[in-house]
Amino acid sequence: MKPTWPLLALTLLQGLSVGLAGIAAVLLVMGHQQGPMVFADQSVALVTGGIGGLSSIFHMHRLAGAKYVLRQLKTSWLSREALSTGVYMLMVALTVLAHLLAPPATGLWQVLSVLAAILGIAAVYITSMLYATIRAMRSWHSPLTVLVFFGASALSGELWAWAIAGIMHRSPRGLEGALWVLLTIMAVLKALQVRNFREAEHTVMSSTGTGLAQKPYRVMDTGTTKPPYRHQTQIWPMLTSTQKFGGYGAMAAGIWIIPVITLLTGSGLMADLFTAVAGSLGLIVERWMFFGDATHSSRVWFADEPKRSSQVVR
Amino acid sequence: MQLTIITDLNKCVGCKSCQVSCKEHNTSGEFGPVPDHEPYREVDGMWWNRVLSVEAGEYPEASVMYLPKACMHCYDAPCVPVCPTGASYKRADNGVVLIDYDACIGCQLCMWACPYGVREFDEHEGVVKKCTLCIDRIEDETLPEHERQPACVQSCPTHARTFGDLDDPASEVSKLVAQRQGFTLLPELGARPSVHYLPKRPMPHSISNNEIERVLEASES
Ligand code: SF4
Ligand code: SF4
Ligand code: SF4
Repeated sequence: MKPTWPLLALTLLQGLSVGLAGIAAVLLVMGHQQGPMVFADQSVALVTGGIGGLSSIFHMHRLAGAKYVLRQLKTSWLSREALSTGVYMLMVALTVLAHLLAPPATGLWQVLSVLAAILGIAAVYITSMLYATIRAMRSWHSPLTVLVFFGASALSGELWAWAIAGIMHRSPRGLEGALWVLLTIMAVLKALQVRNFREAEHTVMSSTGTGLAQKPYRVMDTGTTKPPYRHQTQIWPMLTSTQKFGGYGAMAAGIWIIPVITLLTGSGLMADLFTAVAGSLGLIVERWMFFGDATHSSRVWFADEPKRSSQVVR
Repeated sequence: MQLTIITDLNKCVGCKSCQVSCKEHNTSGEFGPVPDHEPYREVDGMWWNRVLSVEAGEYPEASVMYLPKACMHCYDAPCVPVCPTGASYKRADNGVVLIDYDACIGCQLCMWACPYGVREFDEHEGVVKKCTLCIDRIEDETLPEHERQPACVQSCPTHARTFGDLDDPASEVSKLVAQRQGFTLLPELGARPSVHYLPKRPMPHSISNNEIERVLEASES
């Protein structure tokens, strides 16, 4: 489908915010005495989550209906997303406020920090379920969608926490180890998901979409059925092999290759910042490909299908 | 009750009269929700009913099939539960799936959820639109009885399209589906579309001139 910037901003910034809030809560619970750094993480979580929330306004094309958005909590993951992300943001704001206003000894800050992290995890789960439950979007209809959303959220939070630690000249125990673990988990999850995307592309077939088993199969151009599908945003022209190679290559370079080389060879603030920037750019490309490379079932009526030779013949 | 349209793919000649009459009816009149801002420049504009021409096989063993495709008014319409505002809904009394434009926020989630790609986004009004089964006609008691049917059904010159209640076993649409083994598109996605198609019969055997001559010669001798 066509990637749009409000969707990219909303999902990426919500994930980043929750990742940071989660790391802040872990640092607090583990009693690492990193008060200022935890507070910095939470403040950044508030700002990034807030920008993400604001960008969701641009995803709505008719604001007059916005007052009805919580109407279908019983069935709609989008209603639930609006509620859960709103409640999460409220809790992060309260957490930041509690640190500013309440005496540290009361423990209020700690309790709110943990609550914010739990609500954040629920919000990411709900957002990812919105995508994972769409049966017609063959590439997304998998538990892997949920796992990759969690992986991206944790990794982006970790990368930014890493940069914040560098700026504040702190090195909380376990932060580097966690970064290596997350890079590894995310690599495995993403490899499986890309495999899923190829599988989805392969199983959307003209034979189920038209009853015509015989290929090759050509949709003749009547002037109303060919790209660019201006009125149908669930589908857009398929990425070419070069575009896929470039997209996934840029993703791999940003998320894994550059950060791993920097972690192994560099040190100091510039290296930390470089790792965080490269990783974040890689995650933006990752999310862009999640939308841009997805196969919708309606593609059978928009694209010619070549004759396929047997996949199993020897 | 589940109102629906059955299309006989043997009778459809791809004339697109249904496509055009759908647009004509739904851009005009008091309701007129289909946008048509640049009708002569924007051929890829909004169409609620699109007739696909699909060519299969390779010459000389090729065939063309025409497939009119609009909202399938699914029994388990996946576009309905995903809608956050309740703008997309399915009527309990006649099974028609509709959109309340006053409640729609244009998030387009229903467009991703619909397996058939029949929902279209109106950039000017910021809402999603689709076939209403000409609800304004079928419920208009001022119209004569025979005109209370969707515009596409009424305009089809070959009578390829039949309108009726699929839940009534005695209706013409139910009989056609039962007797002619009507099929639905993408059944594996579980939307249970009410719109059915009657399958194309096999193509006649292709016989070469040589073969005809051989048979004629054999019968003469
Ligand atoms: S065809 Fe698509 S828009 Fe129509 S009822 Fe089914 S899922 Fe909804
Ligand atoms: S675009 Fe409108 S009808 Fe579709 S899901 Fe969003 S609010 Fe509902
Ligand atoms: S009007 Fe009838 S014959 Fe013409 S394209 Fe539509 S269904 Fe086919």
